[in-house]
Amino acid sequence: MNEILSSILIILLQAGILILGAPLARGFIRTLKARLQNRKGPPLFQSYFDLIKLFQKESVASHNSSFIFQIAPWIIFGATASSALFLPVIFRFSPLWFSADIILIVYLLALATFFMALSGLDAGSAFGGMGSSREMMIYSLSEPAAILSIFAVAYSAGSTNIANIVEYFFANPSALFTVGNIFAFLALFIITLAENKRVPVDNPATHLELTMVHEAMILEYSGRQLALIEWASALKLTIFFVLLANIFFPAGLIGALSLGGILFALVVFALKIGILAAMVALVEGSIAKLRLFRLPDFIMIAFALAFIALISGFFM
Amino acid sequence: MTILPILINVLSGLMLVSVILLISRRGLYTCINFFALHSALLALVILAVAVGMSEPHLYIGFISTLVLKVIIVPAALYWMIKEIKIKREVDFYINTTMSLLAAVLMVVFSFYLVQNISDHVSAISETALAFAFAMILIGFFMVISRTQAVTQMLGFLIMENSLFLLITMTTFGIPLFIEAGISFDVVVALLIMGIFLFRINQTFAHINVSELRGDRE
Amino acid sequence: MLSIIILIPLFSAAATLFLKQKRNIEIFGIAAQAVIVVLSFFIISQIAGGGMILSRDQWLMADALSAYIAAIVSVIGLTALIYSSGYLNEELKINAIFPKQVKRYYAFVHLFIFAMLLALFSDNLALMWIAIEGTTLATAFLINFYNNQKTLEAAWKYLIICTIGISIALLGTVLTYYAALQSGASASDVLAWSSLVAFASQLNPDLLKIAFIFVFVGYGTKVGLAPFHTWLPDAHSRAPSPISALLSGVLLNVALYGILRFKVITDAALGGHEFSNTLFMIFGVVSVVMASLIILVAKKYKRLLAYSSIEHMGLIALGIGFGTPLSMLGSLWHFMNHALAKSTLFFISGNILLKYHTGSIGKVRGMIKVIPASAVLFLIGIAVIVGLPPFAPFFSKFFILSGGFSSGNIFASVVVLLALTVAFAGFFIHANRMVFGEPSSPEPEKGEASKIALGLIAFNILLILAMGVFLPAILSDLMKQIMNIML
Repeated sequence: MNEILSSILIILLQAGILILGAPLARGFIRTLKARLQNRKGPPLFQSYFDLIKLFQKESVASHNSSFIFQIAPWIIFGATASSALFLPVIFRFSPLWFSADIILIVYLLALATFFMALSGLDAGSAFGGMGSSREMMIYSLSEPAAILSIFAVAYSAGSTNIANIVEYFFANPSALFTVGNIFAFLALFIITLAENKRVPVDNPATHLELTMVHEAMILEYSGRQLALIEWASALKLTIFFVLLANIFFPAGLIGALSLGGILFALVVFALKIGILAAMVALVEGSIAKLRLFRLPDFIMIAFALAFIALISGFFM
Repeated sequence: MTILPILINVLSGLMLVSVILLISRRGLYTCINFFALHSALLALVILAVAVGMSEPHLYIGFISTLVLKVIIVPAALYWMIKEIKIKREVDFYINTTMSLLAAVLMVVFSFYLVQNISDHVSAISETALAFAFAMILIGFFMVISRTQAVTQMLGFLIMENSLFLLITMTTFGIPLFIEAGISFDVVVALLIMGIFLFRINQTFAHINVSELRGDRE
Repeated sequence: MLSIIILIPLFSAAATLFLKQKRNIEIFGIAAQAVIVVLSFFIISQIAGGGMILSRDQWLMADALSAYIAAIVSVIGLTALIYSSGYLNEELKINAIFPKQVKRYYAFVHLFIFAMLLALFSDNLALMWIAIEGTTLATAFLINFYNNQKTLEAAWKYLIICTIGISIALLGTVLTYYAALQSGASASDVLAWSSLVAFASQLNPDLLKIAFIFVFVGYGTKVGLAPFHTWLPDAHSRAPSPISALLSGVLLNVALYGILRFKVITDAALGGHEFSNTLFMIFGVVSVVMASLIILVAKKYKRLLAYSSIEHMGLIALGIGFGTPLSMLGSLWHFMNHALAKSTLFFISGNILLKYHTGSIGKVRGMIKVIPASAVLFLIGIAVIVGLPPFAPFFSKFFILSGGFSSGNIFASVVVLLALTVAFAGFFIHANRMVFGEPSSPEPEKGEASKIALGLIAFNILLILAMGVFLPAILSDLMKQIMNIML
């Protein structure tokens, strides 16, 4: 009985922290960026207020949309949230992880992206279609690089199962500091920027039609559905952060259920995410957004780095 | 002793990162900055080897690299760009994607090469050896694939830096006299290139060497 | 004594800073160079009979190979300096250059000779590298002497291509050094060629193969072997004629010397000549064929001569690659023959340029009427370089090719033979056009530009004749020694 209870607790804790904390991460980046640009910026919890507000509003759908438009937000949120179940947040293990394959996570996120693109097309508006096609272009470039970099890490750990990877790196901390991993980390960081549509790939704050990607796809959504989608994208960003933080630096992950341990791990986790968020904010503040046809070059850098990571792991 | 290989791995890996970023950027100032970063990392490697392998004469190498390639050469390049007033963007014969792919190919080739000789050699770190090789090849590639004279010089400088990395790691430094001689050659070569650059700019009003159409038979 | 011979040109270079009069600079330089010539012959006499001069600290060394090429360098250097004085005089007269440039010219020429001698006499492979790169740096300004659009481009291409080529050679040198350290050589004599040769058999063969490839590609760029030759036609044709003579005649030899030093080590480490010989043969054939084809369609006479240099360097490489004693002898002999012949031709081309003020073959006509003496010497020079008997190059080429046939490389030898025929035809056509026919209008004034130059060229030709008829005993002994080293 205790076993089942603690298992449920672990699952809930990990997923809950992620899902509930996602908007906070996004808000943190926004506020930090504002401070760096000498503005005051919105309050830290603004994202929460936005979500609450959106949930109370009515959703309107275009006549041209189909059932896809209705179900897409749920699928997007569902897929992203379920991939959150398989990530190490504060615990080194989780009863769900017997099937937690990295590829599974990647594909769950891909499912979300796919439906996002579909829904953009569904409403039949020009901006939606444009956003979707750009999204797919970026995605087709960044996905191979993401997989490569994750494979590089998995290769050195000897397995694609999250649990095994975390255990491996916990047992051999020196294996973390190989060059391959550094390259994979850098590659994954660039991919994070790309897939979550941050600068220099896409400006999350813009609403200029010609430059939107992510915003263009969700233009038609409102109310509860918009809330779900926004939440999902914040969650996706946090998922990437968790991947970056806890796979490459698994320090701070605890093995057992204990109050002190949980608090400690929570603090470490917040610290790691905070640092990553700060890095993103820094990058966003200092680099200008790239023009669309320059994006392949940018993502190619990640691809090259990931490839080198794989090679160095392969040969040495 | 076991920290040294890891440290050198990390540093040379970062050097490779800076080279890859360098060949993908189009801003001339950014490229020079990455070169300065490259040289700074090289200086750190020399320092690490000097401390780790107890080769005191490498301290001189560390200081000279720091002063020369991190401070003086980039500053000189900056000054030159300002004087010549060239446009700050780099043109390529080969676009970024292809350049990056070529760079990756060279890394693969270097690893293959190092593996072939790995049974007979014992460097501090084979990964770093492969990286050094790769960077030499990438520097060479930069020279032949760029149209602007300044980036050709940068490619040459990267080749030299990576060569020094190779030297430091395999032979733990060479006799000081030789190293001084090689550095002297490099500096003079750079000086002459700089002088020529000025003259080319004076005569042609640009330094796009691809437009220097040669004599034809 | 080795250090003396190397330092003399350094003094000459310094002297140009202090001496004011052009006349004084020239006299000093020529006198100093004459001393160098004497010293180099002296060194040869010391080496003859199997000697080797080593200086302390293992920095400098002279054996048969370096003494031989050093002698070539000294002699051609002397003739080039003498020719320069007349040539520059003429250019000053027509205001093509300024007096200040003359000082710089001589300073760099002496630095150039210094670097070459240093490269030839260094025992330390890294020092040799430094010196060879030094020759690139010294000559860059010389190629850009006229400082116009064309020369800038030629000099820039030369500087960049040769410098990165030589950097690749440095990579090869470092790898060799590394291999030596791995095999347990003591750090002090690990780069000394004389010591390396001794225990070369213990060096790791795989590593040396890679190292040699880098050295071959690197220094081979400076030799002008195809396909790394792209800098050569521009550089050698845009430089002032005496500089072209030095570049084509001697610098290419020195670069090839660099490769040869490594070849000896590599062959010893690999236990056989096949690997390096294959490289020599492949690039030799490619160079000869490519150069011959372009010689056929050349439009400028200095570029014609430059491509001919590529062809001859390819021939020499081929002779080394064939590996038989006869072909090796031919190659070694050809070092000297080509140097003498090519420098002569460049001197004559200088005369043509002074008279006709154009570099293109089509615009130079009727030489026999305008500058009869030069025209005759030109014809003789072309006959020499093309390999007509009884001149020496005929014999050296003959040796090389017969070595090719006897070593079983029939295909390569036949291809090269055909290419040589093509080159011969090309030269014949161009020479015919330039020497005979009606002088182009407006008619350049008749009469030679410089008498000294004529005397010099005639002397060169006589030398070539002499060498063809009989090889001084000491030279053949020298060559035997070299072959001992190489084979």
